[in-house]
Amino acid sequence: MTPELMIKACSFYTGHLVKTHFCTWRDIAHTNENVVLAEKMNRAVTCYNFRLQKSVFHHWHSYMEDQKEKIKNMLLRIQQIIYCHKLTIILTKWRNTARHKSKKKEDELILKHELQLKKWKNRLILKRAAAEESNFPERSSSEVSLVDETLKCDISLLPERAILQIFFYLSLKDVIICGQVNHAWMLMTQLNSLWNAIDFSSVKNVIPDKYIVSTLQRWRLNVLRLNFRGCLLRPKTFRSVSHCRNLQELNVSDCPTFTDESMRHISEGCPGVLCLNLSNTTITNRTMRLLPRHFHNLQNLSLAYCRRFTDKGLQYLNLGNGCHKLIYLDLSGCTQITDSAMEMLSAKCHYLHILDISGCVLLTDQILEDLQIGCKQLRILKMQYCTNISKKAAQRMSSKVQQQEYNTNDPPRWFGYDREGNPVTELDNITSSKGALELTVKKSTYSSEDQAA
Amino acid sequence: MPSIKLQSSGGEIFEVDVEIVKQSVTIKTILEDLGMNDEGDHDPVPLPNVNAAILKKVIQWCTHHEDDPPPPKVYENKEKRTDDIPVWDQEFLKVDQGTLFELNLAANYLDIKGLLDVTCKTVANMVNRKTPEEIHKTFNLKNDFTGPGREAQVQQENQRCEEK
Repeated sequence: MTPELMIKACSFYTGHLVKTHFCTWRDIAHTNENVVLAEKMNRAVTCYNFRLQKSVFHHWHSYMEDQKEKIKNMLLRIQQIIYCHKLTIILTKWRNTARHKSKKKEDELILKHELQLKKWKNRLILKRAAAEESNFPERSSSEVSLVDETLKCDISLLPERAILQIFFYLSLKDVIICGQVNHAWMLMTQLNSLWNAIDFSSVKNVIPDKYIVSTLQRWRLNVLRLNFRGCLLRPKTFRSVSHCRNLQELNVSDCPTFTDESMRHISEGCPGVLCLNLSNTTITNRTMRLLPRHFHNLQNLSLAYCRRFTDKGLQYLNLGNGCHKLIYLDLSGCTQITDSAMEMLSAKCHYLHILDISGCVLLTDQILEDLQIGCKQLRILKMQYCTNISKKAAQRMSSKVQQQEYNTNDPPRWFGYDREGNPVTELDNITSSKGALELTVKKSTYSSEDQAA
Repeated sequence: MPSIKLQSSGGEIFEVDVEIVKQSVTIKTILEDLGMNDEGDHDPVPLPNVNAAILKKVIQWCTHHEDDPPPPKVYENKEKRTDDIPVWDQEFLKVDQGTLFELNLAANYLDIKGLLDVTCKTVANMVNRKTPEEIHKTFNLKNDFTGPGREAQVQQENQRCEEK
């Protein structure tokens, strides 16, 4: 045994030991690594699967989203198409109706012309005129009309617009007479719009009350304007006016039989009255109470020469919702009214454009002050024979309005009152002196324009 | 002055100043609707309801009234006067009834307010203050209410209309 051998054996042994140890370690380490790797692999696979799922899901989701959008668009388009289709159907139907109507109209026109043509033809045969000329109705009509001087022409064949205009120029009496000519003419006089305005004043002494009542009854929904000026009617006749629910304009001036009672019926039946002319009637404060209660929209009101109502009555006019929309007010010849009534009036009627207080002899300068404050829109002011209004005040006022009539002359005799407002006893020949009135008015008129000139 | 061609029912063509013809609302509307400018060379405007003789008279009237002020808008306020026809128009309308009626129809179709108004006034004057018999005579009409019961028939007719 040598040391060398010993060393050799030792190192060999150590080497072997290391080798064994290393191998064991290696084995252990190797197995450990495998386990970890497997685990890692597993995790990776799960992760991969998850990712895959996620991306697939993502794709699917966007696809679905797209699909949804597409469906929505499709739906909209379908709706649009349906709408268009519906419109087309409606349009077609409308067109058909229109075509049908126009055809009917044309047929009617042709029929009319043919009728005329027949008439011309008959004449022509008599005249031995050439028959071929009448091939064209319109042409032939003119050709013939130049030859023949007494042709038969019927107003009732004219269009409605022309008929209405012709009848517009005829008085009620002529319209009634036309209704007796023949059937066609009678139908012509029964056009609705012909009866929008009825003027009974032109036939005041001829027409019986019974006819007025039946006319009003028949055209009650068409009547817009009625004129009874100067008609001497029974109070009961006036009552039938209240059936005319659409009445806008009523003129009962110079009707001596028109009373508060008639006014009560009318005011209850006709709420839409805009213009009311009560001049020279016997109405009293009772009527003045009715006006603001029923006629909220009243714009034109004439109370000229109504002497039965008092200051208090005029004050009623602006009670509550009353007649604040008045544009035109005629109080001429109402000698009884005083400043206090006018004060309230001018404070409430802001839209007043035209005011006539001629002959109101009791009014003083005070009302001009009130008017300037309350009625800023006043354009025309008439105050003839206002003896208590001073010239100075009138001149001041003339710059505020466009047109003004003023003088302090004594009222003319037909007026029936002197300058103090007391009645004049002898009243002769009213009608003949009315002409004189027109003259005086014209002469004494002075407007602010004149002054400026 | 720009002009326009009008074609009557018989095919005759009339050349008229645009300004004159614009008194007819119908033609004015046609021109505006078609967007025609005032330069000539258009197809003629066909007027199938108006014959040559009447169209000639209408143009004559329009030429004379070219410078008239526009008519007032609301005719409710107009006075019911029929004796204010201008002398020229009176002379112009001294024609037979057939022509007068054709003129009225044409004025209505062409919507010429002044001419319609003046022809209506003339016709109204023919009816004014006449008895039914005189009207029969004037317009060569027949009374188709039978027998003496005319009044009764009128009454009956009124009744019938009322029931409608």
